[in-house]
Amino acid sequence: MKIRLRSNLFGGIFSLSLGLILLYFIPRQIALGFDHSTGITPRSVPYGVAAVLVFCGAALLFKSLILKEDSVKELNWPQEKKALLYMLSLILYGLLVKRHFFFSTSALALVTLALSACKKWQYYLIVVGVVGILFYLMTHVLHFRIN
Amino acid sequence: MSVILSEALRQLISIQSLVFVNIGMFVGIIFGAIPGLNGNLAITILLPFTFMLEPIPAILMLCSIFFGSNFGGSISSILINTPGTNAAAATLIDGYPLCRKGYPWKALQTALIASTFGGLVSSFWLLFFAPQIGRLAIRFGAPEYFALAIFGLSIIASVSGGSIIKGIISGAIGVLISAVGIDAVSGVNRFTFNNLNLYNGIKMLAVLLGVYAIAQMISRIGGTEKHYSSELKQSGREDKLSRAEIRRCFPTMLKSSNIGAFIGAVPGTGGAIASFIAYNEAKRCAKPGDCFGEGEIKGIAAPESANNGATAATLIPLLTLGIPGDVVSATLLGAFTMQGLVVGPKLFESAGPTVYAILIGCALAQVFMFVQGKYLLKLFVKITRIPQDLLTSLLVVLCCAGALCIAHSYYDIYVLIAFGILAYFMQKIELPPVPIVLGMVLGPIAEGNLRNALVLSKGSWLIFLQRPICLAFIVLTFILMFLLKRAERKEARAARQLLEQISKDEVSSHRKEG
Repeated sequence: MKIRLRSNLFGGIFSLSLGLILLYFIPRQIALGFDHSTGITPRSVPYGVAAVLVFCGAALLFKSLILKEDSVKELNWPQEKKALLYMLSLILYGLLVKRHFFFSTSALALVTLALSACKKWQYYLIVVGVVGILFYLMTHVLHFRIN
Repeated sequence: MSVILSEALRQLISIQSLVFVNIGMFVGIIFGAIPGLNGNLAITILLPFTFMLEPIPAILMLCSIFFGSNFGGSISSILINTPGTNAAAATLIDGYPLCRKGYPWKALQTALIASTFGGLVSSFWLLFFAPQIGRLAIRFGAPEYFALAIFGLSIIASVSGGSIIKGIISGAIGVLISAVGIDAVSGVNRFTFNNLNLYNGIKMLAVLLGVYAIAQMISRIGGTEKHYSSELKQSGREDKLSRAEIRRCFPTMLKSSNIGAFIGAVPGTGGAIASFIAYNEAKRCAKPGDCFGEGEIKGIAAPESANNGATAATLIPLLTLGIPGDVVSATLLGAFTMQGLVVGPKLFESAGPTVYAILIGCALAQVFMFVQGKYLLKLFVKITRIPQDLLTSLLVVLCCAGALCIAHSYYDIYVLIAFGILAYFMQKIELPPVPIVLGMVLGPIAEGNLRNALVLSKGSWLIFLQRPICLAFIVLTFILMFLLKRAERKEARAARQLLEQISKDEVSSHRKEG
């Protein structure tokens, strides 16, 4: 199955949405500060960034929808499915790494090999070994406090 | 003066100094080449071990780590499309495509020669122009820094790939990332969402690792980024930098080294800005036949000469004014102090021979970098022979460990994962990653100095037009934008003509066949 992705259209939606989200959060997340004499406050640059994102997003949407200028990318669903699975593994790793660095990092390395369809068992041993060496260096040489 | 120099040489030429310069260089190259590790981390780790050394070998070892890590950063940029250091981000624009074409050796040799050349030029700048440049740099105030940052941001236009609008979006995201945390001018929290980790902002290295390394690993797993290893295996006898190619790159290296040395001498800038400006300048001066972005060796020579050109020059404001130009200089400042050397305008008077020995040693370190690089290159090319699946897995592990090493915090691993996933989706909608780095480096410099400049001028924007250095940077920005636009038009016209020529040739060949 192929998925067609119009880069200007999706880029425009992404930029516009990010800009609007920023506009919503700026007054809620940034206080005005004390010095107003220069006209530049801690909100000025974030507002500038939001304006740039909204303007550029609108420009990309205009190019895509009105001028019909767009590049279409075809994505292969089975491949994207693997990438999505890997992203989920990364998120899971993020949740577990604080509990035990060695086991969670080893698990991530093994999942990476498995998703790459690696059939050589030696590689699985090598990556676990490398994680072990790194764990030893970090805890005994660099004296990091990790689990 | 000759007495000081002869005394400096006597102090420098000792087995201890030469051995420790080489140890530092080796460690620096290794730390630079591994994504997530960097020269500053290596300096910080080895700093306690330098207590037992004499000042000259101690400082030279730490400086050599700094120089070596800058070259080392280019190795991972070229071989795995992941900059080992911020300064090597521009190298991958042409380094990785050349590697993928089957010329990893040529790319690495170009990086080595350009780095050595840049480092030597920078060392000579440090040795001969330190007092003069210090005098010029001290005249830089907030308006000049702001103008310099804007000049740097204008480079987004040339690193955006096909669409400037998409480049600006990525650049804005970079500026936004840099805005997270406590605002340095007002002390107000920005986008911290009451999360203590966000108070210190988002670490650039974690973002870089996510955007460049993790996104690429996800692509590899997804099967969209494959087979460069097999292309490397095909690299044969022609994968070697010829003398003619070195001659062709020489003007670019000379110009870029001097750009790097000048920018490096300005505190608060550094190799990352220098490499992008030099790359941009090389691209602007491209001759017909130069294919920037597709594996052009000048595109490797320019950023590498510039980022190594900035290294020794970064020490100019540190030694002459006592101002650390970047994070590494700040760490080195600690090393100087620990060795009893008080940096500042009086350093050359109080410790003349020692300082000159360090300055000459910096030039000598570049020669050792060339020698080590020449023999270690074989070893590093072998890294690319590692099977794809194993390499991907090992790199993910190294990136996670590297992220943890940045500040001994799991929070940087979360940043790494979040930006890796974001960058993967950004790749799909063709948003370029390089402007994110530019935005992150230059955004805070531009913002902080804009606000300081306006405080100085009591809110008047005319301050930017009243100061000559500032005005010069603004004019340069406009000239750059104009030249870029013109070069873009020329490129489009040349491409059109080429397409027309190809279609004409095809028609005539069909007629002949008919």
